[in-house]
Amino acid sequence: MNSQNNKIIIIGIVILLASIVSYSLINSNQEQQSENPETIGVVKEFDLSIVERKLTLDPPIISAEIGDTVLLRIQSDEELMFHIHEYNHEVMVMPGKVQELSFPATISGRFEIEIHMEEHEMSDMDMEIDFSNAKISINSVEVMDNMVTVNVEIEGIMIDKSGIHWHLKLDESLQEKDDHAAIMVFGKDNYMLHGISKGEHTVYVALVNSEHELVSDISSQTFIIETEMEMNPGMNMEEKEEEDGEPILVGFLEVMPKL
Amino acid sequence: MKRIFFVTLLLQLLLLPNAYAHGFGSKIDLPIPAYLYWLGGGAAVLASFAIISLFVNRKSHDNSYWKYDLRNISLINSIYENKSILNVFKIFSVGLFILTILTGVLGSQFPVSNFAPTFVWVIWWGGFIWLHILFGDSWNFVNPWKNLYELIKFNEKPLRQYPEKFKSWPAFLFFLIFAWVELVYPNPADPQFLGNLIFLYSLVVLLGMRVFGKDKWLENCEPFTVFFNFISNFSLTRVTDSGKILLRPIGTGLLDVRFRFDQLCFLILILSVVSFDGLISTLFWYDVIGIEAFGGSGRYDVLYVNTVGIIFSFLVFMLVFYSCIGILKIITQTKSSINELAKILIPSLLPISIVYHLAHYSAYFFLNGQLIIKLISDPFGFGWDIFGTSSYEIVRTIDFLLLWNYQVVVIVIGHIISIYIAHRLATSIFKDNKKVIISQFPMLLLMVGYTVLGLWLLSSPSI
Repeated sequence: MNSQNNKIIIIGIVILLASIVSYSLINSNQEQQSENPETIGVVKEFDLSIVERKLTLDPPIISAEIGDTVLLRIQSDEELMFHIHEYNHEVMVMPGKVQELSFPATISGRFEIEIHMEEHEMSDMDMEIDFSNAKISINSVEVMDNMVTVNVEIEGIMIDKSGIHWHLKLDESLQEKDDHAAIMVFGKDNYMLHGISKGEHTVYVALVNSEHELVSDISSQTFIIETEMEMNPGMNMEEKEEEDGEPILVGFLEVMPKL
Repeated sequence: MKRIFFVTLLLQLLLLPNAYAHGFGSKIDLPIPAYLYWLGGGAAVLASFAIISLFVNRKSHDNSYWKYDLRNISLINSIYENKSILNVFKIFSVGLFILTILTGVLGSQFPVSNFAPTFVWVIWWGGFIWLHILFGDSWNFVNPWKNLYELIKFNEKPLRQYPEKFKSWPAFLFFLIFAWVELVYPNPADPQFLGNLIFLYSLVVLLGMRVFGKDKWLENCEPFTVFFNFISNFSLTRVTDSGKILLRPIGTGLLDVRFRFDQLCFLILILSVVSFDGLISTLFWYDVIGIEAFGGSGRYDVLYVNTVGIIFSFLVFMLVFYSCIGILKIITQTKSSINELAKILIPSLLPISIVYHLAHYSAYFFLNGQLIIKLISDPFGFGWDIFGTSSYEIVRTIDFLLLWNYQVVVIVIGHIISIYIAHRLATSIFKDNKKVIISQFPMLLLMVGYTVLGLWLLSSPSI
């Protein structure tokens, strides 16, 4: 009888504990919600400095909440590519210039921030490169399910392949300069795009100089994707593994769910 | 010819390709927020005292628990007796095993495009434990080496007697090596490395079973058999030696077991390894060892520190556990030796380590585990689409709130089960109820400490 009673009491206590935990959870969620009734549209600003290939932020974690707009002002002591995983935002940062990157926080989670060194001495090269006859054309666009490989042909510049730098954009034409939304391709004549949705798309390419200003005409080609895919916001263009320049992890973007 | 093959294999193992940036796939789980950490810790302390107070006036000292033989249900009985279902399982497990080796060695060397890393690290190591909690010793049924051995129908008669003095220490050593590969080795997700390693280990297991006998080798030298056998003591159901399938309250099976010293060490190793896994990715750990967490070459920077660390953490856990048992001996003035007490009470730590494993691997399992949907259609990464799922994209928008609550709740439940088991086990040592209660304070301290450590690891900023 005693043991029977004990069992009942144990079960009772476990249920009680479970209810306390769940009550406090719900309660704390509600409290946090009532504290921040209108968090949508909040702009979270961060001034980031990259010194000797490290973020000076300590700990190097950029925190935001779903619905926020993240505004990053990035400075660096050397030329590098700044890249946030999954969100796939990539910007070129030049020493002495503040580069802004702004985007809405749409996916919660912890995303790696990496920098990629581009081992091309572009500024020196520019002096010697004559871009007047520079021409880029799309040779072929190979479609495979939701993935395409864009092959280009570059003519009219007398440099080896490793010095080539061109911009690529999907479904939107390239801007003359400061096109932060463009994908930058270095030292190769093809680029693979992943996770493209079903439908008709156009890819645009153009050669640029070290200042990321267009130096050739824009070439474009239209292709059709026939495979249906599940879409996640902000993830329709995914760059796969890096082939050159080992990426360096410098920090994290932490997007918390809305409580 | 054979020699050339083995030399090539060894060279492949030694000449490893460059490490992929961060294992495979980026880490997108979030640490639990501070308020949940405090809440979980508080709930653990509260539950501990509630359980202890329940037993204050308890007089009965039996270690029996409710159980039910599921074979009384005719459907379950007929499934159990149907050998063809069992054979299907066996062939399936051997098939998966061969596929893992083949994909690893011959498939795409980009870890996310290869079946082997996701299957081994995420599905099997991170998720298989769930099957154990619910269905008992499932590894016993699907163990590919055992099944392969049985399918080949090797001669059952061992060539040599297993040296009994070794006990299960070989399994301990193999588990330590396995943990080192998982946590410290710079590139555990490299498909070729994984394929070669499994192949080499398989040769060792098959040879071991042939020489010392299948059961002797599995019980004493095969770390996963020993590991999953421990877990099945905790599970909801278990097949007994007499062929019964017992259904029982979760964790109560631990009341039946008595461990030897080597098994006690194995259990502490499980506990220390899973905690060390949590620790080494925290920014706190990088601060302690004085190595830059960011901007370096990842696991290569911490290779030596973490190699020492994995052994050191085992010793620390041993020391802490034995200190608590020492205190317990002093305050209860019992005549039983410290070793005796340790061996009786060690099973109570198993629930805590199982739930930490579940919480620790949860995001990894739910996020990276989705890759398997894609990989079953294209296991080699050759661009196949066998089941039409090769273009599956991982859903990364998971409900983190739900995930956090799950992590905290399983940890607190595991803590409660551990406290309960420790108390029941203490009744088998002490006849005096007062001593039973007193004996629980060092155990309580240990368990609250471990639970808080687990929650802290889940809430710490990590890389």
